[in-house]
Amino acid sequence: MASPRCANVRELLSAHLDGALDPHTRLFIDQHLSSCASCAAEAESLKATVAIAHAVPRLELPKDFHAALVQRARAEAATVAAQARHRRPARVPGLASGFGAFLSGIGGSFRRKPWQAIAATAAALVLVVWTGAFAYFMGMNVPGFDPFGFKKSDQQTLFSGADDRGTGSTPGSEGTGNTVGSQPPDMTLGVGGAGGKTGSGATDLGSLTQGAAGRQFILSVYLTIGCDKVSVAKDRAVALAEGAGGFMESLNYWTDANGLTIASLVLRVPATSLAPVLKELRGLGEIVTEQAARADVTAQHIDLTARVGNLRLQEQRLLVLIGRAENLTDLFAIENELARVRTEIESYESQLRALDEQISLSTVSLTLQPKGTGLFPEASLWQRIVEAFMRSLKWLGQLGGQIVILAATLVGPLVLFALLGYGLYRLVQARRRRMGA
Amino acid sequence: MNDRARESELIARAVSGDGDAFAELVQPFEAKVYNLACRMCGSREDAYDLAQEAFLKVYRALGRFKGDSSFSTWLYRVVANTCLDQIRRTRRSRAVLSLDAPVDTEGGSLRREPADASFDPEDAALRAEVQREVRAVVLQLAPDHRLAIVLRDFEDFSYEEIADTLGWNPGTVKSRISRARAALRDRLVERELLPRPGVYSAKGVDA
Repeated sequence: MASPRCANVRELLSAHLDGALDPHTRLFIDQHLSSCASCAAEAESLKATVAIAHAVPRLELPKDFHAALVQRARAEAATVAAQARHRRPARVPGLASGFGAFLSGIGGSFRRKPWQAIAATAAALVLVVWTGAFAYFMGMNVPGFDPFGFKKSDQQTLFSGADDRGTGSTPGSEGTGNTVGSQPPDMTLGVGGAGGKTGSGATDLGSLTQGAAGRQFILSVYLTIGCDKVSVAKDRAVALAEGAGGFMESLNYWTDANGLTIASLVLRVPATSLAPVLKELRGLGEIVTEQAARADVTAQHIDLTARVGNLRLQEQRLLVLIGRAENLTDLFAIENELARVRTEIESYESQLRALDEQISLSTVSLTLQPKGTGLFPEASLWQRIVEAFMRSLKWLGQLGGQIVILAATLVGPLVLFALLGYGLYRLVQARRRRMGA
Repeated sequence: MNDRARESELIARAVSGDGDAFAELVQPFEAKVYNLACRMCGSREDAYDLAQEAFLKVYRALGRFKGDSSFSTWLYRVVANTCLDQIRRTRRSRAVLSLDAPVDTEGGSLRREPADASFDPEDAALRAEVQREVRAVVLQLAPDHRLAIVLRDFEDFSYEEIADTLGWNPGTVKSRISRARAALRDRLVERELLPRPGVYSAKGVDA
């Protein structure tokens, strides 16, 4: 009773009685009870209390309870069904007449009270501004809303080889990063060629993998190839990846508006066999663009490994400590700490696994398209004018559609406004009548 | 598994407006819910109405039951909340009972000195005055503590079931049950319906 430990133990006696404590705490309390007569007596008295509570006889359910419930449930079901039948048809004419009354109310009241006209104008103005803003933002999202050709068309997003050639070096975030995959590639090698200039268009994989002793990289290659038969090339590419111990991660296979079939694949290939696989892939046709990137994740990898190691040591130490805990507070503190450390270990380990997977499997994003397409044909001025005109026609069509959608969107709020306005109008009239009387 | 299938079939039928299916669905819970309501609000008449009301609430809300907990857990949650609402409503109209207020008991004939060696909790529980005290003490507890002890010791819920049903964390469940039991024990000791803890000696612990 005297020691603070007794107070802790007594807090937990109730849960102990029900076996609801974790094994460490249970052991601790058993030990305490065997040495502290006062707490043991307390435990016994609590046990008797619980036994009494458990033995208090249960009340019998009144005989008519179930019958009454059945009746009420049936009544409830009937009301719900009746409401469902009446609700829908009753509302619509109500709305329509309300709206009509609202409109005629506006006309009548303007003649009598100029301030009402001002208020109505203000409300209308708000509505118009809102509608305008709405239309503006809708317009921004209209696909192809680009009569002047400001936005890049889909084809132009394929980067041109000449522009991307060379080595762009971005400083990697070494040392502190513990998020996987968010680092910018610290080396980008882009090689590409338009038309027949693909002779030297192979990525310098040597430089990608060279200097790699003891370092760990995530390798990604982006490849666009023009080939004779896309479907055949696609199957061949998948077979190549699988033959090298890799797999196809995703496949997008479609025919675009001009009837051209395009396949876009993501292949995962073991880093060790990336070079031979790439060589084969290039053989599928004419290289349109090729870009390779490597991200140095050595520091990140070391960092994660070190963290996991440290946490493991910490866990060992805590497990020793928990056997020596002096009091409950310590025990709970250690237990909490253990749980936290375990969670962290698991989190870092899963990051490490993800990283390892990315390191061992390189990513090849492959786009296959029919030969001679997807480049940048120098369109003549006349062609461009015609194209712009066609685009504007398309955009007008879409705008029309959007206006219809906008009108449909506004119906709800307008009805609401109408009802509110009508209610207000009725209120004002009622008050005026009372004032007059 | 078969019960589960039957249960979800009844739920589906009840949702689509079959009152009889609903009655069949909740019949196994009626006695428990009635007892729970009785312990929570103290009078049989109130408990009857409260239990009926709780079941109707369950019926109305059944369409929102998504099956992410078991049906019984969900049902008891609705019932528990109905009870708590009822207690809050009546507390506003009635005077709040204090934990220190003396409990109404008939006469002074309760002064039986229980002999520690022969004390039998189950025997004690059958005595009317013990039952009355237990009921009275439970009714004086704060609603949350009351709910905790009623579910644990009268309705035999596990700690996990209580935590799931009421959405409390495990520590809260433990401490509320512990507080409620301590209050019950103190009251029984005070009324001399339970031996004072000191009566036991260390060696007599497993009596």
